[in-house]
Amino acid sequence: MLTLPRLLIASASGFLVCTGLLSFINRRSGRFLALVWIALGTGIALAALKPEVFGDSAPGTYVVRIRLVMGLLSFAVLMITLETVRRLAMQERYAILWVSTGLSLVVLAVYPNMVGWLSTITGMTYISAIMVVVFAFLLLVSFHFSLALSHLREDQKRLAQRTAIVELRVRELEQKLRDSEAGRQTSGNTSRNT
Amino acid sequence: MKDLLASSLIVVPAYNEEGSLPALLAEIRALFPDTDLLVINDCSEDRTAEVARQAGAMILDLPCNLGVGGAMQACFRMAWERGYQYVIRCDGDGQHPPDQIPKLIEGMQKNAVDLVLGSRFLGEESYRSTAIRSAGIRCLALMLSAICRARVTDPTSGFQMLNRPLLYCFAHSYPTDYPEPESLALMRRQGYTFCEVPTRFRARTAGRSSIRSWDTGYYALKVWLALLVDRARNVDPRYARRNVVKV
Repeated sequence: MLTLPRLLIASASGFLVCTGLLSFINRRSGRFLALVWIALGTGIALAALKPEVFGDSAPGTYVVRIRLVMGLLSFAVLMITLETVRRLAMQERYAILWVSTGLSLVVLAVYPNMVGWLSTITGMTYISAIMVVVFAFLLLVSFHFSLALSHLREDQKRLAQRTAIVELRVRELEQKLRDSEAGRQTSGNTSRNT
Repeated sequence: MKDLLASSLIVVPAYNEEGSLPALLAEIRALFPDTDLLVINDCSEDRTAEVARQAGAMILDLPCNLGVGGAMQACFRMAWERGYQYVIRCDGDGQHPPDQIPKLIEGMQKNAVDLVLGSRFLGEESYRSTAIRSAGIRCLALMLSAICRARVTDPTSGFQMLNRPLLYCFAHSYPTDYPEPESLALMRRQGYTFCEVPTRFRARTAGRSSIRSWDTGYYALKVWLALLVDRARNVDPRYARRNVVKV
């Protein structure tokens, strides 16, 4: 049965493969990264279109499959973050939270028992516990963004105010210079005339 | 009065006010020929800066729109650096008639306060506004009076005059958008004093208010939140009144 969500996921991953191919050809990013993208896209597309392919070969239980997906996901997060930092498109201080998000996802995928305490306290299942952890990290990241944004606004305000004040001073100095030059010229003329 | 005027700065914050600015500036010039006049152009899209320059005023030309708070703070910094004793604010939309400025000065001299506020509602002269807006203003006035432990009738009035110690305080920290009510609460907390004097306001001559109807809700929410949060903030001793006596 080809249901709509599976079709959507398949087309989205097809898009992923296309972008990966394009960047592989154009060498816009590193070839290795493009290959990772293509592999990821093909895998997801395959899984969406023909789940039996993985159904037989992959370890059977639901939790293990989720761990696999989580591992892939965190790997992608880590790769993208590191690549962006490497290209100086992101400063390290903003990467820290993303890297720790990716790392904690990896750790949770490898050692699923670490969310055990959370499950026992709240009575959540493994997957909801994982989602809570991920969500907490994303909240932290967006909070960090708000902080950074406010800081930037403040800096921008100060800069704008300072430029305006300095511009006024420059204009006044220019005017003074013009006046004194005009004064010197007229006085020179009068002395020559007399 | 004469030396006071010579050591003060009249500030006209303006955003898209090319229509009303020339008449207003001419009026101020005629009334106070010895006082320095500064126009703050908050990154207008029209010819505000040009018009002000033609009128012979100094101009602070902000490179991006900072809102009234940011614009006024630019002026406070500049006035502080240049050693002005007083700053008088008179909005560029023409709502604050320059012939009422002597009332502010009189209030400042008589009461020895740090800030004098021109109030629309204090005198017998009534000011017409929409019902919702005046109800909101009254509500805000009540809350602000309670916070400041002093009577405030017109908390949103921007028609004000302040002295050098307060200039120092505001140059370092001034609220960003819709600053008037919040700045009153802040300065009271830092130990500064203010008083209100009755003044007549005019209906705006051209252009339109920067607070539009759908902004009123945001305005109320923002101001209330800011007032509450300010109560939880510590007094900054560097800018407290008792430490800024000799400046």
